[in-house]
Amino acid sequence: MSNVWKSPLSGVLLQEHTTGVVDNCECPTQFAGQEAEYRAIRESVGISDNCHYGKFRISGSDALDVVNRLVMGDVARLPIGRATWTFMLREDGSMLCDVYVLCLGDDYLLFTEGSDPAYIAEAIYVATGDGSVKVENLTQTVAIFAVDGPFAWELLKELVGVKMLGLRYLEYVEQQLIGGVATMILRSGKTGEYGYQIALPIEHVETVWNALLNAGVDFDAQPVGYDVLTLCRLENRFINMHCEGAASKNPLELNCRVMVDQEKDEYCGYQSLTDSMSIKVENRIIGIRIDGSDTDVPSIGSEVVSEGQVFGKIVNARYSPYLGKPIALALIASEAAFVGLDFSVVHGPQHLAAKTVSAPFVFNKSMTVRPQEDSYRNR
Amino acid sequence: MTRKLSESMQDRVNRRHEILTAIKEELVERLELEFAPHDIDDDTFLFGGGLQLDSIDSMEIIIGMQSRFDVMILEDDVSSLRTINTLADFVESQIQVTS
Repeated sequence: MSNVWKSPLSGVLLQEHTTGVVDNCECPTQFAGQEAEYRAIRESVGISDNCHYGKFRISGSDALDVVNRLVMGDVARLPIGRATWTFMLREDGSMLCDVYVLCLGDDYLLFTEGSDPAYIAEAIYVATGDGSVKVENLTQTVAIFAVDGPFAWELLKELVGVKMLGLRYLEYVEQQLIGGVATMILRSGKTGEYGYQIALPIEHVETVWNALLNAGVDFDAQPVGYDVLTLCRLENRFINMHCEGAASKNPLELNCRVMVDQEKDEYCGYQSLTDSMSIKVENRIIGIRIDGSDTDVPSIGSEVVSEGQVFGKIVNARYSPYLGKPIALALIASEAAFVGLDFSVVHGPQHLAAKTVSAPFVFNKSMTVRPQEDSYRNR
Repeated sequence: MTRKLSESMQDRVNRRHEILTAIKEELVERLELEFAPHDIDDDTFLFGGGLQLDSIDSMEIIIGMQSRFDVMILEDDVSSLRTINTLADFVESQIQVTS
């Protein structure tokens, strides 16, 4: 592991906050507290620092081939102005990180999460081989902020104009001025609400952060930390590479079979994944609602049992403010990974009653907000 | 390790599996998806990532569920139209009401 580096935002943040290390980057984990931050993301707008993402630009005549050797999805059909969300695998098929691949034409941008960017850089250099490409590691020169919430689109509309309303999921636009700074805005996110990632040169973090916060006043926007982002991610069943991603053998165990491009080969992890696809997957991930307690959140690794038999283990768990109950993800024996089954989760001396449930755990307010008609001010 | 589901749990799994398979077959056939039904996981999202369907497809899904199961999903019932499993939740709830 390389030396921990500090998010550039940490030097300019005025708001009280705690920090933690994510993907080898020290970044804000909490600001005003989970309750206020959660409410912002689920009801208005949350503004966060995603500087821990790895950021790489791959250019040159072999860029497409190199990117396709790196990721599980097929990038060949990706048009300019669009991105795809996929995974980088290790040779054994396990997941190294998740990655947004943005097609810039002949060049590609990679925004990665879930692993130290130094490891990802190594994987990229291996994949380049003798190819004619230039790889730029932009991790510590480009910053990424995120804006998430049912009215995130409206905050950005105020800042950069109505074109935000037309930006579709996984589309990006460049040269968008925020506080006078040219930024790239990618519509994406892992909270289940409207979400946008804003990439900018690292020297302008203070200007853009403050511009977002100032514009956010009218929307009761809050700065939000990594902790609440991972909670929202779990509630909406976006994969957390540090929990279920790390516990699984391959993406097939995580309900990602449709993301595997079966016409593409020769990417890292391909052989192992192909072998796994031809046999029955041993375990599958499933959502679990803890009905036996309103407060006891099971530990990672807790056994999921029925009639004295162990069927799986908990790989991610939090208290869900939306449900008012603990929720969890478990890797369960495939024959039992179905919705509507009653299990117990071992929690110290207790056995907590639990039920397998469908993804996602929550119904997002963003599903009912229509940007052409609604406004935070008239809600 | 040898594990065995109880009889009632196995019945539940069989019933759910039957509905899930029928839903996947209906979607693949009706929407001409490039996936085989067994390549679609139960918690696969219908829109956005996942199957990457669009709003026009949602009407086809509603018609498909009516045709296959004789159940009616209301157009604004977006909570049922999220994943294969949420569709199955809806179908199961309607079948239980009918029976």
